[in-house]
Amino acid sequence: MKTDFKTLLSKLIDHDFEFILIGGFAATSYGSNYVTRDLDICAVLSPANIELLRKILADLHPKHRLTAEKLSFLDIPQDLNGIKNLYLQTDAGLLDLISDVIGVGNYEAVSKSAVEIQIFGRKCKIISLEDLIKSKLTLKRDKDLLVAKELGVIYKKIENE
Amino acid sequence: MSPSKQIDFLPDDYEVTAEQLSAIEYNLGLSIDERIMQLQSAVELIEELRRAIEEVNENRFQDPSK
Repeated sequence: MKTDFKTLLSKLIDHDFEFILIGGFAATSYGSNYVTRDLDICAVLSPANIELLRKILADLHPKHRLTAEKLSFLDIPQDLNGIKNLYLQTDAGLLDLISDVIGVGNYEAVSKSAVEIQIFGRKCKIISLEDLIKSKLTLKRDKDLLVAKELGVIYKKIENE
Repeated sequence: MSPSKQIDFLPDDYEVTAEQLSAIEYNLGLSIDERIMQLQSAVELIEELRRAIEEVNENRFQDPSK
């Protein structure tokens, strides 16, 4: 098993899967010290998007990480309606898909102030620093509060530049 | 692997979610080489993302009239 987050992210971008990068990778991109080990993205988890995601991830053998039997994401769930979050493990690493970012809102809300970056020669959206701080402060978990403090310092530093 | 000693200073309640626990379980299932590869991979992506964010910041502060 060879973790390859670049492959995982570029696969999503190359197949025009609409998403916004959130979570730990977004935080470290802005300068946080906390290195993450999973790729967190916000997306609309509609049946069409989930079908597309299955096609994109098929050769990476995606499994539902939260199930004891590690059920295949390619087969389960069969009913694709009403899915809020997906926590997957793939051959290229962990991938979490969230439909609502706590403290900010759904994909549309996060998208409003998301930053468009160029990566691997393609466009990709990343949650804004402000929304990321808002989300971390709302989550209020120990780890999130530590990251929020760091991001707050980074935000003030950028503001004063 | 089991703890060699009982420790009594751990809090009763942990703020760990099911998804965090499953990620920990996944990480513990990796060999040392796989853990190193996982971290290297994360660092490589962070480097790309940092570069991309810096480009955005540089463009933001550039005078559009120039």
